[in-house]
Amino acid sequence: MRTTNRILSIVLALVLLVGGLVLAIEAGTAVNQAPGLVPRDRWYAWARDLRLDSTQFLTISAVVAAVGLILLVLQLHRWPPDRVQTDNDAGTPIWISRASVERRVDAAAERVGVRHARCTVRGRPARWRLRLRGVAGSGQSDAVLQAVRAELSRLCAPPDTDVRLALRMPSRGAR
Amino acid sequence: MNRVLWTIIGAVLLAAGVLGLLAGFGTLSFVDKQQAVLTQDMVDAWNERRIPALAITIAVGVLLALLGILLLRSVLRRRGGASIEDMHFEHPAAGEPTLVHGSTEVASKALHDALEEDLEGDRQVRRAAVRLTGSADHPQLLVRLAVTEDADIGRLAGHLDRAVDRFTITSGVRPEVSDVVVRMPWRTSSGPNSRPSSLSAARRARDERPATPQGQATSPGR
Repeated sequence: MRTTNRILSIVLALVLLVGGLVLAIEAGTAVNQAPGLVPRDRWYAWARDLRLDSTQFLTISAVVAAVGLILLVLQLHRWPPDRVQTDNDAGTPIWISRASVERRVDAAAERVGVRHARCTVRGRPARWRLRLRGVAGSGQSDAVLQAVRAELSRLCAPPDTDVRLALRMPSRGAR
Repeated sequence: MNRVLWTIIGAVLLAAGVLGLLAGFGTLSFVDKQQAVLTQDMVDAWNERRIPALAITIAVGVLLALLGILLLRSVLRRRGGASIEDMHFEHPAAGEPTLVHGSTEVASKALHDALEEDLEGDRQVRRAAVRLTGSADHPQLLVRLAVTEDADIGRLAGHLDRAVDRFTITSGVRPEVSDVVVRMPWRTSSGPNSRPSSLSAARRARDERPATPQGQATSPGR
């Protein structure tokens, strides 16, 4: 999301810069009735003819509202953090990319026999939680949890990081 | 900052769009839905005060362009500000009696290179990128580390602290570690214990890009 916002901001900045300059130049040339950069007369005639109940105006309004709504939803949605913080009490706090944490936990779970391990990290960067899904035999939960905790310890994760396991039993054919 | 900005823009666009729809459907009692977007009253008002209106329009245009420049600068600015300048040491220091006189210049790049090389001395660190910002008296240190996929982060933090201590002894500058970002690029040649799943492979492909200072932001959620 941060990258998306950055790109959007660059586009907005360029639009403001170019739009502002064009507006100032147009107003400047309009003082002497000189021709400007844009077809002023055509745009004026269009705005004078466009009625509020016309399909064109309603369509423009609907598109503007939809863009606004999409932007709001995107901004207010709780996206997973790009990176998470290690234990503050262990010294210099370090940021680790979320994908790296997820991969490390996947690999740790796979080493103790979990198949199709898929870890997801959610929450806030300084207080995150972890969910591990995968396929494992009955009675493996404790070993998997221990392996995950050990890996989190090597990653210097906060000791109270919430870990949830959602392990499925292997299907009969796969046993 | 970007998130707040785009939340405000989203809210303004939504409000404008909804108001337009309400006006178009005749729901607003004070707006005639059959009127034009640009009414005769608006045109008359503009023509009555044409020169001041044009002057205001020019001012608004310049203001918008300046806002664009400011926004562009804030988006493209490097995190933490500019790197520290080259350091200059005079000998003797003020009031110190000595027969030897001279001065020493230490290039900012040399300081960066030295710290990066020291950090890369640990086998867990594949690549280090540092940036010292602020003044030479109170520099801030931003660190990006690409480490091995099995790195022990606690050990890594200890290595970083010791490297900063060594840097302080050598340069006489004690930087404040303001930001450390660690990335673990996945090697295609997995270790003997790894059991790659299809998902892990997909993640590996996604994250194989090496860590670079430009490619990383300095803190989340800001």
